[in-house]
Amino acid sequence: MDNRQIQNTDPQIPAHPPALVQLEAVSKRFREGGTERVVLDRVTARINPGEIVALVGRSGSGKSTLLNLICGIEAPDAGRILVEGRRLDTLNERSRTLYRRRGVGFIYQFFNLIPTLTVAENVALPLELNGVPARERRRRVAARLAAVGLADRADAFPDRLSGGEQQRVAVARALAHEPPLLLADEPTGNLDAETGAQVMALLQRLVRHQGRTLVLVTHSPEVAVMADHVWELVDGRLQARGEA
Amino acid sequence: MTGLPARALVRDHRRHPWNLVFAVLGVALGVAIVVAVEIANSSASRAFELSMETITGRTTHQLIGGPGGLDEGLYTRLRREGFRDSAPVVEGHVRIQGETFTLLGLEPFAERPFRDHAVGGRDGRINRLITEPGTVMLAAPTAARLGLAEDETFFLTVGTTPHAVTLVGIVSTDEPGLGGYVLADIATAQDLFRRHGRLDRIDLILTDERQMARLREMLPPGVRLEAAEARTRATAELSRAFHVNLLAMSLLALLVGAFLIYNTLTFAVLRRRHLLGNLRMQGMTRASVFGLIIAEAALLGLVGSLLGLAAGVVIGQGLVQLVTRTVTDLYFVVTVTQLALGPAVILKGLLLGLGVTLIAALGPAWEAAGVSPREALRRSGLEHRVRRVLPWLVPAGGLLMLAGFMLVDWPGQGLLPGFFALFLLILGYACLIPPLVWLMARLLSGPLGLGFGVPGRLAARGIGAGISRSGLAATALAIAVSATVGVGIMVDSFRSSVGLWLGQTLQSDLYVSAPGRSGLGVNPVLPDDLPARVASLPSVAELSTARRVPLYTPRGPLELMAIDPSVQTPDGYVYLEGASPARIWQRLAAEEVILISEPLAWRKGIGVGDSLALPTDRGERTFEVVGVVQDYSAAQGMVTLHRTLYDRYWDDPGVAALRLSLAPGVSLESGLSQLRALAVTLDEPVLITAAGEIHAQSMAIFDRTFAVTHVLRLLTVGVAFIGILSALMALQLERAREHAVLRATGMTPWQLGGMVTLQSLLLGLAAGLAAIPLGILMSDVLIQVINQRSFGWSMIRTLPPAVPGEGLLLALTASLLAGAYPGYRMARVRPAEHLREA
Repeated sequence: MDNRQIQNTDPQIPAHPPALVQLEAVSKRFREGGTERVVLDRVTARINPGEIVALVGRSGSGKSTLLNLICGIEAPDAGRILVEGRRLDTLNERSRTLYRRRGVGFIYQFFNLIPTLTVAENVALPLELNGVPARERRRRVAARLAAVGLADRADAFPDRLSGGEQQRVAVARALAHEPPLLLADEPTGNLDAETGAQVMALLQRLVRHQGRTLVLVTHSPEVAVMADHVWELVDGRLQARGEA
Repeated sequence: MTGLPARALVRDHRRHPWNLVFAVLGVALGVAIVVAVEIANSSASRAFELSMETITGRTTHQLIGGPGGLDEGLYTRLRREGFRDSAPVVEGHVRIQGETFTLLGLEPFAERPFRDHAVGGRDGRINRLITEPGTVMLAAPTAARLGLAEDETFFLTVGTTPHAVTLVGIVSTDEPGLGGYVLADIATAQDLFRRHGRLDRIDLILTDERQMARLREMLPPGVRLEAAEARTRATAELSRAFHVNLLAMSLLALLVGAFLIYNTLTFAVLRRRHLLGNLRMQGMTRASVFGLIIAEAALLGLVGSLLGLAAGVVIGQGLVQLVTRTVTDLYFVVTVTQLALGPAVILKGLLLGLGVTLIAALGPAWEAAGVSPREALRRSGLEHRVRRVLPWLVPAGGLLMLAGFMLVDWPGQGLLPGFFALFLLILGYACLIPPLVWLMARLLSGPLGLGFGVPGRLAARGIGAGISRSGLAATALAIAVSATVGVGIMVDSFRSSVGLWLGQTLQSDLYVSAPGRSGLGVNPVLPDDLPARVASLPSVAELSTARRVPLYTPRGPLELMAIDPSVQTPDGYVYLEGASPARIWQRLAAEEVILISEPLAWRKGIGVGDSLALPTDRGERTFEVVGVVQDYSAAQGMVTLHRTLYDRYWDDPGVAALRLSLAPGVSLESGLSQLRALAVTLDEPVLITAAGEIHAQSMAIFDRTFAVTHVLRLLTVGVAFIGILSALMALQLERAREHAVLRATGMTPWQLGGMVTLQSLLLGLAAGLAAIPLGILMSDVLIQVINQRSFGWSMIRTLPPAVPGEGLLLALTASLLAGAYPGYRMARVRPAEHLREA
C-alpha cells in the first residue's frame, strides 16, 4: 500500500473539508557518518481538525522526525507541509517559532518541564509567550491545573512530582494556550501502564472536549487504540493500520 | 525579555551559585585591576597637575638657563628694566622622614602677583621666613601628616646631607597641590642647595608681544624664555609611556578576565542548553533567547563591575604609592595627597566591565540563540558537532596567529597595533588548544587505564567525550596561566637586560661622586682639585670624569652626560648603531658630535648621521649623532658628549663623578682605603663606591620600579586562579548526573573522587603545558612591541625556568582544588538526587 492509497482510500478523510495538517510527498534524509539514511520517503497524508492520529512503527522508523516536521523544528528535504492551508516548509525560522508558539502544544516522553519553574509557572509559560494578560493567565492556569487534577500542586517544583503528575502538568501546559494542534511523542513511554492509561484518558478527554487535533507517537497498542486513525511508518513510508 | 523565562534562568543560578559567584568574581577582579591602575595613574597625574597649577599660579612664562641655572643678577636687571611681574625661584628635592618633597625657594615680596597660597600665613611668620636662615613653611595637611608643629626644628636631607630647619609657619590651605612642597625664602634655598648667586628660573607674567620681544633682546645667551604651560606639559608627557605601559598590564589582566567571563558564560549556556531548548520548543524566538542571555550578562557585568569598582578603589590606594614611587624614581617628584576618584574613573570602570562582559557574552548568546530545540534536548548532538568543528580550529587558529605575527611587525610607534596583535595571537592560540586537549585525552586513555584502572580510563575519555566543555575550560585556563608566564618572563628579561647592561657599563673598579644626583636644584660637584689628586694616587691606574645634568629643551627634558674619557671608557657602552667604539670616541673627542641613548633615538626617530638640536649656553646648536647606545638609566633620553665639547658650549666647569681603574696588583680594599684616606682631608663629603655596590643599588631601584608590575602580575595570577577554579569546578559540577550514574553503577566514592580529581589534574596539566609557549609568545610581544614602543628600551628575552614552572604549578594547584571539591561533594551526596534532577 503506498502513501497515495492512504489519502485515497481512507474513508475518514472527506474529499473536501480543509485539512488541519497536510503532507505532500515529504521526504527527509539524515547523514550518518559517510552514509545517507532516508527516514521519510515521499510521505503524503492529511489530518483533519478534531482527529486523533496515532503514529506507530519500530524505533528509528521516523515517527519523531515526522512530529518535528509538523511542528516546524525541522524542515523537509523535499515535499510540502501545509498547516491550516499555510505552507510550513517555506516559513523562516522566526515564523516557524511563532507558529509553534501559537498553534502547537507539545507533550514529550521525558516531560521536559522547566525544572526551575513551578508547576503553575510551567503551565503559564506558553500563555506568557503568547502575550496573554496576567489576570487571564492566572485564570487559565488554575482551570488547566484543575482539569488535570493538580490544582493543589501549583507551587511545587517539577522534581517534587511523580512521573504521572509531571506528565499531567505537561498536558496542562500543552493545552494552556488552546492550540489547534497537539503533538505527543510517546507520552506514556516513561510511565507505568496504569498511570499511562490515566494520562491518556485525561488527554483524550480534554482533546475531544476542546475539539483539538492530536498526533501522537506511541509503541503502545493500548494507546494507539484510542486514536481515530493509526498510521505505521515502515521504511520511510506511511501505511494505514486501521481505525479505532 | 519575558518574565517566566528570565525567572527560570535566575532560579537556575540559585541552584548553581558557584557558577554565578565565579562569573561575578571574574568580572569584578578584571574591573578592579583596571580601575586600580586608572586610579593610581590618574591620581599621580592629577597630583602633578595640581602641584603645577599651585606652583605655577598665574605665571605665563619662565626664564630658563642651562645646567648651571641663571645668574641672580638677571633678576635684578629685569626689575630695573620694568619687568615688575617677575619672581625668582630656586627649587630642589629634599627628603623629610623618608618622603621626598620639592623645596621651593621664593622671594615673598615678589610673590603676590603669582601665587595666592604659596606664601601665606601671618605676616610675622613671613618675616621670620625672610629674616631667619634655615626656616621653612609647610601646608597644614603636610605638617599634620609629618607630625610637625610650628616652631619645631626637624631635619631635611639634601642629597645625603641632613640639615636642621625650623617650621615657622603652617599654610592653612585646602589646595592639595601644595602637599608635596616645602616653602622657604630664596636665600635659605640657595643655602641648602649650595647655589649661592644662582636661580633655577624666573617666573614672569607677560601679556603682550612687545614686552616679550623686548625681554628676548635683553637675555644673555643660553637663557630661554618659555611658556609655563608648555614646559609643564612637556614634563608631564615624560611619564606618559610609563602610565600607558601600566595600562597595558591592566588591560592584559582584563583580557584574561574577558576570556574567563566568556568561559563562564559559555558554560552557563552549555549547561542550560536543555532548558533553553525547552524554551525554544515552547515558542521562544531566537532573538528573545539572545536578548535573555545578553540581559543576564548585562546584569552580571553590572554587579561584577560595581564590586570591581569598590575593590579597585581599595587596591588603587595601595597601588598609588607604588606608582608614585616609580614616577618619582624615573621622572619627577610627585606627592599624592588624595585619590583621583572622579566620575570619569567610575564611568570608565563600569563601561569597561559591562562592555567586556557584553562582548564576551555575544558568543554564548549566539550559541544559545542558535540552539535547535531538537538538538538541545540531545547532548550527544552538541558533542558530535563540536568534534566536527575541532579539525577546522587548527587552520583557523593558524590564520589568526599569522595575522597577529604580521601585525607585530606593523611599522610606527603606535601601541594599538601591538595590543591588537597580542589579542589575535592569544585568540589564534586559543583555537589550537581544544584539538590538542582532545588528542592528548585520546593518547592518554590507554596508559591511564593501565595505571589507574577504570577511573583512569574514564577520566581521559571523559575529557574527549565532553570536549565542548573540557576544551573550553582548558583554553580559559591556559590563557590565564600564560598571562602570568608572559608578564613574569617580561619582567625577568628586563631585569636581566639591565643587569647585563650594568655589567658592561660598570667597567671601572671604583667610583667617586658628589652626593646626590644632579637635577632639580641639586648641583653636586666634586672639589675642583679632586680629579688631579685622585689621579696621583699610586693605586689608581687611570680615571675618567663625568658630569650628568638635566637639560630642559623646548621639546621636553633630557639628560646630558659630559665625559672626559679614559682608555677604558669606550668599552663601557653597548653600541646599537655606529662605527667601532674606538672610532666613535675619536670623533667625539675631535668633532661636534654626540652619542644618543636608545629611548631618545626611538622617540625622536633619529639615528647615526642625523642631527639633534640642543639648547646650549651659546644658544641652540645642532650636533651630529655618531652612535646609539643602550641605556636604561634615563627614561627621558640621554645625550653623551665629550667634556671638551661640553665646556665649549656650557658654562659649567664642575665634575660630579670620577670613574677609576686600579693599578695592576692593587686590591679593591687597598684602593678603597687610599681613597677614604684622601676623602677625610676634603671639606665636602664625597661618595666612594665599588662597582659591585652600584650594581646592587641599581638593581634595587629596578626592583622598586617594577614592584607595581609585580603587583599587577600577582593580581593577574589571582584572576587566573579564580578563572581556573571556576572553569574546572563548573565542568565537574555540570557532570554531576554522569557521576551519579557511575556511582549508581557501582563506583565507590573514592574511585569517583579519584576520577574527578585525575580528570581535573589532566586538564590542568594540558592547559599548564599549553600555556608555556603562549606565555613565551606573549612575553615576546610585550618586550618587542609594547615595551619597545612605550619606553624605547630593547631587551634580551630570557627564559627563567622558575616562571613557566610557577605557571604549571598554578594550573595544577588550581585544578587539584577545583577537582577536589566536586569529587568530595559527589562522594557525599546520594546519587539518586542527581539522577532525579535531570
